[in-house]
Formats: sequence, C-alpha cells, structure tokens
Amino acid sequence: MTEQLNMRQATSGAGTPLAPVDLTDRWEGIAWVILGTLILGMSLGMDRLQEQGVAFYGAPGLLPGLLGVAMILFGSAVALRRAPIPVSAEEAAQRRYRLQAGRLAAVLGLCLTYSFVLVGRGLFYVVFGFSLPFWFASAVFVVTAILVLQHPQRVESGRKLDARAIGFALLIGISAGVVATLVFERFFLVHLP
Amino acid sequence: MFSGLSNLAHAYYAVFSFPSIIYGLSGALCGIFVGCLPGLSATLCIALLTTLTVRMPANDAILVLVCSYVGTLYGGSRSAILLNIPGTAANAASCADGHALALRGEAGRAIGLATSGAFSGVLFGVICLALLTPVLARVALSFGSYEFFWLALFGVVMSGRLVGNDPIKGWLMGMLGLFVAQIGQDGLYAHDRFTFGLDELSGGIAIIPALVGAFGFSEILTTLANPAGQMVELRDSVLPRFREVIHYWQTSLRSGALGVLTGLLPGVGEDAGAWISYAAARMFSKEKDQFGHGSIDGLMAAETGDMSSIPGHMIPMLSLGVPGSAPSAVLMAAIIIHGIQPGPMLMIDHPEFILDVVAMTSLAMCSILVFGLFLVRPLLQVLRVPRAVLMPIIFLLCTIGAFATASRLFDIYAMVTIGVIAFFLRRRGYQMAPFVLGLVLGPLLDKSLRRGLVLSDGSLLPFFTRPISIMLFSAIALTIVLQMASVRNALARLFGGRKAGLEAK
Repeated sequence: MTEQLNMRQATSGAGTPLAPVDLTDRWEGIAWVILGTLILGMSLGMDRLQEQGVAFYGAPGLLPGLLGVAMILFGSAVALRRAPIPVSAEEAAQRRYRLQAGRLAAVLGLCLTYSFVLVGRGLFYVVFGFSLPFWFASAVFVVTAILVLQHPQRVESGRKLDARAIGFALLIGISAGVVATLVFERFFLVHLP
Repeated sequence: MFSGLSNLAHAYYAVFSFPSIIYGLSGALCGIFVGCLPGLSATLCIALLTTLTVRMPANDAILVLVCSYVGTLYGGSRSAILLNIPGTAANAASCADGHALALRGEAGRAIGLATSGAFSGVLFGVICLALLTPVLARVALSFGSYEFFWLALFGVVMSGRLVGNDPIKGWLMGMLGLFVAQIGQDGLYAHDRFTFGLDELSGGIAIIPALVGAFGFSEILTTLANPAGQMVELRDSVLPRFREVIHYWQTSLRSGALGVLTGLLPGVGEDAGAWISYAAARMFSKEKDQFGHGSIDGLMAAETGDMSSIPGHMIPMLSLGVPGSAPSAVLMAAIIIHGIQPGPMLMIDHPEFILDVVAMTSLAMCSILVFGLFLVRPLLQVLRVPRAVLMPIIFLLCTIGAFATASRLFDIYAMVTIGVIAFFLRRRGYQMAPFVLGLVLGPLLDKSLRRGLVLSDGSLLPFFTRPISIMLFSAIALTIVLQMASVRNALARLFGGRKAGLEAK
C-alpha cells in the first residue's frame, strides 16, 4: 500500500528549505475532534443514575466526557497548528517507504481469515455448523502464510513453487499447530479456542 | 533492620532454588530470543508468557515474567549490534556505536561490553529497587483519591510528552487509552458504558489482548512491511576485558543512576533511560568525537541506562501501582492476575513480595550474564530464521495469548482490531506506550476522580490544595503549557533578550 502522504517542502522566509511538513495532520486532527465530539455526546446522554441518589459528580459519564473535551481540544491543536511538528529526516524516509501493498494486504487477509473465520466459533462454524480443531486451523494458516510470504522471493529468484517449498511449509505449519496445541493445552493447561 | 535482612535472605534462598533457577533461565532465554528479533518487544514477550504461565504458582510465574523482561531488553542489543536494527526500542541508542564496532570486526567485543553494561545496570537498579520501593510505598500510604487522580494523569501526560517527538499526538494516544479503559461496567456503580448493547463489551477490553494487539500484531505487520537487515558476522571473543569494564566505572555508575531516575517517572519507557544516559556520557566523555562511530563509552552508557531503568520502572509499579513503562504495565497486569495488587497496600498485604521481586531481578541479572557470555553463538541462530516462517508462528502465539486468560473469542477479535488500528497509527507517528499507560491507569483515574468528588461533596478544592496534589498538578500543567508554541516563543524571546543583554554588557 502506498501511504497517502501529503508532504510539502516548507520554506523559510529566506527561501531556505526546511524539514518536510506533513499536511495529513490536518485530517487527523479533524478525525480526533469528531471522535472527541462523539464521546462527549454519548457521555452527556449516558444515564446519570439520579434515581439511585448519585450526584452529578459521581455520574459514570463524567470522566469519558472530560476525555471527549480533551480530545476535541488537542485534536483542534493538531488540526490548526500553523507550523506542524517537522518530521525528522529519518521518520520522513520511513513514512515515504513504499509499503509492499500486496504483501501487507495478503498478511492482513490471512490473519483476519484465521481469527474471524477459522478459529473457534467463527464464520466457518456459522456456515458449516462445526468448528475446525485448533491445530488444523493453525496449520492451514501457517502453511498458507509461509507460501504467500515467500512468493516474492521465489519470483525474484525466478524459482517456481515446487514440492520442496510446499513440503517445507507443510512441515513447519503442521508442527507449529500440533506443538502449540500440545504445549498450551496439555502441558500448561491453557484453554484454546 | 535485621528482620529485613533476614527476609531478603529468605527471598534469595527461595528464588535461587533449583526449580526457580530453571524457570528463571527459561524466562530469560525466551526473552533473549524475542529481544533478538527486531520488532518484537518486551511487552509482547511478557504478554505471551503471562498466558503461558497463568496456571503456575504466583511466584514462579512472576519470576518467569521478570526474567523474560530483563532478557528481552538485553537480547535487543544483539540485533542492534549485528544488524543495526534495535531489537526493542530501548536498544536504539546502542545501534550507532555497537554496529560501528561490529563493522570494524569487533562484534564480539561490542556484545561483551553490552553484557557487562547490562549486568552492572541491573545490579545498580536492583540495589535501588530494594532500598527505594519500601520507602516510596510508605509515603504512598498517605495518598488519597486526589493524589492518585493526579498521579494517574501525570503518568499519561509524562508518557505522551517524552515518548516520540510529538507530545500532542502522545497525549491523544494517552486519552484514547484512558477512553478504551472506560468501555464496559464502571468501577463504582457497575453501569454499562459504551457497550452498545453488546454483552462482550460489558466486561471491557481486557489489557492482555489489547497489548498483544498493540505490540504484537501491529509489530508483525510493521516487521513484514520493512526491509530485512544485513547481519554482520561474529568473529572475535565475546568475553569482556576486565580492565576495559573497570575503566568505564564512572559511566556505569552515572548511567545506572540516570536509568533508575528515568525509570521512576511513570510511563517514560526504557529507551528514555538509554538515550539520557547516552547523552550524559557524551557530555562527560573525553572521546566525544568517537560517539556514533564505535564509542565504548557510548555503548556502555546506552546499555547500562536502559537495563537499570527496568528495576527503576518496577519501583513506582510496586509502590504506587503506576507502571513506569509499557512492559512494566503488562507485568503489573500479570501480577494482578496472580492475586497480588501492586500499590501502597502491597507493604501491608504482601510485605515480602517486594523482596521476592528483588531476588527475582537478581536471578534475571545472573541469567543474562550466563547466556551473554557462554551461549552467544547458538542464540544468534534465531536471527537467521526467515521472517516469512517466524511471523505466522508469532501471530499464532498472539491469538493464543489473547484468548487464553479469559477464554473469550471476543478477545481475539479485540486483539486483531486494536492491532490493525495500532499499525496505521504507528505509521503516522502515534506511539503506543501512552495508549497502554492510559489503558492501565484508566480505571484508577476514573475511580479516583469520582471518589474524590464524592468525598469532598463535589468540591474541587482538595484536588488543588493538598501538598502532593498541587505538586503533581503543577508538573502536569507546566508540561502542557510549555508545549504551547506561544509560551515557548515568549520564553525564547525573554531568555534570548536577556542573553543578548548580557552579551552586550
């Protein structure tokens, strides 16, 4: 993913270029103000427990409301500051670094599928009516993740997906699933999803 | 006094027994492995081990966690020296000099110096931990709701100010953490807040899944998004030269003291201890030009400073119930899970526990010496494991870690959601440490505010008139006001004008 950055080179009065300035702070500031306003609104609308004899200063919404106000103030400061904090050269370079969009999307997709679909009573259970054993779900995830994450290296070196690569991924994936299940569930008596 | 020494001896006797030594070495080894891997932090290591040790007896489990905490920060220096990528944020200060030494073919020497610096740092910190914690805990016994309210706020404000380079973003993250801590039933009247009718949210967002998400999943995504480093080979001996270590005793002592002092500040983090010690060493060093190009003084200062801040962070965590850093926040959560409540009442409920932690940290210190001097080469193999293989397994552990403490599937969803949000926020310069502090201190802040107001019948006066309250309030107000551009400009004009006047005279 290419991070959407709205960088501009700030210049001093004499025309000397300064450190790059990140204009997306403006939008972030606005987002914080919106979040703060929502929190404040919900806090004001919260039950004040007056029927239980609770005074207004003991109401459950007191601190969240104050936090909402603080978020609005600091969010406004971020959005309105005339000279945003200059981003250090190192940080600017890091931000400019092009995220490997496909790789990130693949990792996110795999992790979300594992957590929301495969594990426990996730989407898989909702659709098929039974849940996968944890070791199996984990093995499927690890095998797929290894094959997907190693794909760019294979492309770079001109290699194709062969039986050896699949065997290696299967070995690591099944071992990880089985060992994690045995160690956590049997040895450390920890519940698994 | 003699009873105190007898209790300390008893604590050491219990911790230095054979099974405990095995637990301690395992925890430290696990920590060193995690620390070696760039991107994986002490916070993640402790959070994962908390779930693994949840069924163990309290002292054994906490011993494993303390040793892993020390081990992770120590292990982070390996990748800083060999890859020029700090294993944890606290090791960033070791990168420049450690890697410069490695590039000169002195990687072993650099690792040896880092080991001796880490050992002396923890040793100094342990002494302070034993001496200062009971004193601070006794002082804290006089704290009321008003003081705790300001103390919790002080932690979040200081963390936001000192972590990262944009304090306003730090404070916003602190507030976000405080807000997330308010989700679920409130601590006074068990009233549901921000649950939107979802039963799962009534229990609130648990700390361990939130931390595993913020530091684990987001770190996995960050690690996979950044390019891998090139490792320098280790050729020379890692045994430090005794004469060299003795030569830099002043640096060790100064950095140890600075590390502990920064550790005492709530929410500042180990990296601050390292950077402040590094800056002080540079100021006093006779070889200033060597800094950044392989200075032994610099490397010793950075390692001693970050390691001595670990016991430093434990002092406010144990005595006030206010963690000094993100890893100590998870450690505090784990201690609470095991039935011990850190804070002023610790000296009354579990007076022996502070000495137990002193003995545990001493064992951790010995463990890193053993692994640091005799098992360097095998431990470095972990740096050769491809990330494509390692990261899916780490995510698998994160999933188990999020689920295991409460056996709720919802915790896995919370971990993933927080992780994704944390990943994008981190790329925009938002730090996670203030968020974590907010999450941990949120319930204390809420209860202290409302309890204080109820006690004073709605009056705000006690918040501003009690001596400790006014001190903490002044520190918070000053920190925020000094961040305002107009105030800073006015101060610059004032002092600039004075300086110019003095120069003219």
